[in-house]
Amino acid sequence: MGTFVAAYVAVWLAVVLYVARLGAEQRRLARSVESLQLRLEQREAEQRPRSIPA
Amino acid sequence: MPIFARPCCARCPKWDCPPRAYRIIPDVLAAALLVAAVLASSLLAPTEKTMGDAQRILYVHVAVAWCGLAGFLTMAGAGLLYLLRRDLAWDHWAQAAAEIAWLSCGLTLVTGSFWAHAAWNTWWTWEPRLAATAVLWAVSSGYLIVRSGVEDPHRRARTGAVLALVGAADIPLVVMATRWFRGIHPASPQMEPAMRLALPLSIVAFSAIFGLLLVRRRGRLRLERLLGAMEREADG
Repeated sequence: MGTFVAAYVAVWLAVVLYVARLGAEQRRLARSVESLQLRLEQREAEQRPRSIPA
Repeated sequence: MPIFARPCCARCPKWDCPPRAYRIIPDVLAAALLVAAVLASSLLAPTEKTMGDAQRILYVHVAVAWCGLAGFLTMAGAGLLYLLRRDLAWDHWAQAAAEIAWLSCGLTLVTGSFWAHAAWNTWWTWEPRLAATAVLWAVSSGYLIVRSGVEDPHRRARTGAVLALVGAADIPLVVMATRWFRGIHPASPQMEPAMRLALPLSIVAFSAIFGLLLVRRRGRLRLERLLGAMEREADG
């Protein structure tokens, strides 16, 4: 049973590490989306014409 | 009219994507299949007389080997479609499939080593099928290394596609090695009915898991490319 369990553990370890890598990538992409959104909002605010006080 | 007329999140620009509960259905199905496969291979399948419990490695070894070959075929097919259409979407499929093929081929070699140790009392031997699988793993490693060194996306896709198509020539060797050459790797061992049920179940479960990983990875590659284009636009 030991060899069978060892083979299964090797497979699951590799799959879990790959999933963790995908998760880290997902977090990096989410940060990029947030930073891009912030930049676009700043740009929009800069381009918006200022209202002239009466 | 889309079936799911609501966004998946506050920022989602797509109004036709399914709610989260529906999106996790494939994950739940794959997990259920996997649990069934593990139970079938460890409890339902009888213990083999000569090798004992070590024979159960077969259920995971054959499944990951199948995923490796399917991943390599997908990589070569997507590469060919890129060469024909010059659409980077195919290159994303090719890269995602290459990673799955690399992972699966590596796991095939590792689980095969466990089998070899139990059956032949050695961790490795230059047997034709083992050597052909090692070559396949080396080709997928080379593919990923070469890709990481090329900046231009179209040049990277072209180089990758050619490498994948050349490497695909090894697939018939892996599949037919036990018939074409004299080796010690078992070709099609005799199995009891319960074993015949556990093996395909394991293959289906691992295909579902690796298929899901492939789709998820491809989605991230696509998003990465879109984000890159949007960042360049924002900078410009």
